[in-house]
Amino acid sequence: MSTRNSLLMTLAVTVIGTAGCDLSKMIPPPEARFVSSERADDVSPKAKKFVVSVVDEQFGSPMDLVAWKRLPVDFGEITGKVVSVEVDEDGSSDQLTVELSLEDGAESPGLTSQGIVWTSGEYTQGAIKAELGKKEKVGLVGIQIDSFDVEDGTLILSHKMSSPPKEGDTFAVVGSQFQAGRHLYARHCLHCHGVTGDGNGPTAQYLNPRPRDYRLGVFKFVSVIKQDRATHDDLTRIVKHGVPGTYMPSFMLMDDNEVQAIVEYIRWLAMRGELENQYFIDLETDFSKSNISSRVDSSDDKRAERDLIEEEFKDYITNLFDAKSIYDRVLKPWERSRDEETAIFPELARIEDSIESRARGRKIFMGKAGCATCHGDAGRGNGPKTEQYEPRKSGGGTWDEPGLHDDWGNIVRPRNLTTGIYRGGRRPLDIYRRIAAGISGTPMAGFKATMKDDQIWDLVNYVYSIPFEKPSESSDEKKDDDKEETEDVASSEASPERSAAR
Amino acid sequence: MRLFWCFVFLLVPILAVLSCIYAEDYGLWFPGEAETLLGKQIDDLFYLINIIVTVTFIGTNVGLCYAIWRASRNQEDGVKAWYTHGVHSLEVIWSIVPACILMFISLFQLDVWMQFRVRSNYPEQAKKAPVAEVTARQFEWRIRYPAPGKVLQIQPQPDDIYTVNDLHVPVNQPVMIQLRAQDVQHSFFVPDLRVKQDAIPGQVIPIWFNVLHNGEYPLTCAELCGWGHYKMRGQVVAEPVEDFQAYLKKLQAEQNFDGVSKPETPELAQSGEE
Repeated sequence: MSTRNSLLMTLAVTVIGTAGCDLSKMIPPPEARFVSSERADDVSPKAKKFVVSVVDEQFGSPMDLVAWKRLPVDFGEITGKVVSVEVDEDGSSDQLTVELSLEDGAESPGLTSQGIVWTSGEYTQGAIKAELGKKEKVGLVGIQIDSFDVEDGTLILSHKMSSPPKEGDTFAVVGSQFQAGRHLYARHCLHCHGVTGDGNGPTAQYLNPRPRDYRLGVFKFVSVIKQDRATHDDLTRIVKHGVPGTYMPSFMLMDDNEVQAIVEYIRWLAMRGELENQYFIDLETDFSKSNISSRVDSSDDKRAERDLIEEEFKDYITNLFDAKSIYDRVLKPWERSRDEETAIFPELARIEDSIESRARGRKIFMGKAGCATCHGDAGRGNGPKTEQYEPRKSGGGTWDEPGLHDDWGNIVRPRNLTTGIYRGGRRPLDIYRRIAAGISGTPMAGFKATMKDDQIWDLVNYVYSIPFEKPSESSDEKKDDDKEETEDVASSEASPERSAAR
Repeated sequence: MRLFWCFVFLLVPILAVLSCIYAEDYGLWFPGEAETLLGKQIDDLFYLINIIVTVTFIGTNVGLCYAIWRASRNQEDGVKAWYTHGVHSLEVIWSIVPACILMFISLFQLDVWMQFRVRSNYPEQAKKAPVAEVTARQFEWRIRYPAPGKVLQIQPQPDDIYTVNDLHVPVNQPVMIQLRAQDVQHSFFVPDLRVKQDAIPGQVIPIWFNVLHNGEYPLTCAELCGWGHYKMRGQVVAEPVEDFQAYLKKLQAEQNFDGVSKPETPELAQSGEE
């Protein structure tokens, strides 16, 4: 055996090189530093500091969460039972040996400094409130865990309790899935989407289109209308299938519970970012840098004006700033998309693909729906609007360069429909949703309200046929179609039931 | 001293051989048995070359030791070193013998090479109906199957079935895939099947294999293609032909899902997955 070992010494370099060690498991990713959106630079530094502190109070950071039940996020929990208790006499901690119930394959890294909830024994919620007095955190009442060895089942509590928990007490450690999501996010997503989802990771600058910046709370390829927020299933689908035609790769072979953990973490980041953004928008009207400097410049006594603005700001944040209603307004759609079925489905099954259906779809494409103004007559994504100076959505004149812009301020090209690459998926349902619900954060409008299902399906059938049109044919057809169109438009618009009845 | 140096030089082949002998016990040897017939032939070739190289390696080292030992005896005998242009006949021998060996290897492997690489030698069954088109891109494998009962066309067809990273093929029959690359050079590498083929933008490269057993075989990219190279994890799933057809039908049903007509399983509606 010893000769073998000495032999192995000579191979040591190779062994280390090939076997490797899973560093990501040994070193937890460091605490995230949140990057505020560009709006943060528009408001006064005081206002920025204020907003950051409010959001921190409401969300905490991934390593030190403050909101649990309040947020529509599934943080995941590990439940366990105390098997034996060891009291550290001189120190300030109780060491417990516990028995855990872990879901199959559940990863549970980084559970230290998470809250612990006692579900039986004398430390259930009410009792603990008394124990800790007013030091409890919002949402979850708990004692911090100092260290937690999941393998050994040893739990050390950071707070010395007057009498330690008894054997047989049950508890839950909340946040297991969330922490797993954080670790997986660091491994797979962070280098493009950024540590806290600002879409500006180290590799982001090389990508076009840019990686999604979650901080608007908006995701493009979802199943819901623009006012609603992405559902868990929407994000799962994107992670699993990727976004064809962009750099978002597919994570098809990733375990389902891993994808679930990542999705919940992303939802949390998106909610946090969106809320922060809304606070900035609220303060922007009165306390933007440009506003303050113009007020100061135009007044005679600059110092007095500055003080006045300071006073106003203090007054605003104590009396007028309504964090609660903004919070509710931002979180409501997220809650809705968790609790209710917000995904839109057609009421009518897809109309069978036929020459007539495509022709009707083409008429809509060219005509009243206005598809061609962006996507172009041939569907190449080069409609006239891509050459125009478009007004900014948030006001303030037009964009500096011609073309359509998305809510993140990037130029967005209407999809070139001749390539047959569909970013949000190629199922009829996917194309239907793109047309019916529009694409959130982009100029692509939703037509659910203005078009009937049968018309949308005609349009879907036409969109599917575009990659297979021969260029020469389509231009010939166009001439013929145009003639027909003038005759047919009136009748088809007058009786949409006609096509439905088919 | 003279024995010491001989021993030091002898240590190199001894250690090398010993580590090869023990490597298998420590799981450091070459990957397990090939899962394709052609792969087994490739393995045989590999081991043949390995044996030739081992014999040559040991022989060369023993010769080196002998030379050192011989030369140091000369020194003891008081004989000085002298210049030589070498022995002509010896030079001829060690040129011709390796040349013969190389010639032998190159001729001996031709059969396997032809089967693996020359299109006209591909099995008819595989050539007739390629199973799928695999397009490598940064950083995933996009897969396009023809609709059940149809033949894969070079141009995408309206009824093609698309998926990603998860290539299913029928087991125990020669199957061919068309390999393409969309952006940069990638390499389709399935170690268990002994298949490795570069994917080159602008080219369609057919590759074939005949998987012997049902199973999932990891598919990786073997050409450093960018920062996300490591992400290109995929799998080749070999399954009985009925299961393969059922899988295609399932994919097709998912892909044609319009949100109204009932999918076969409820999850299908949302995730479109499994």
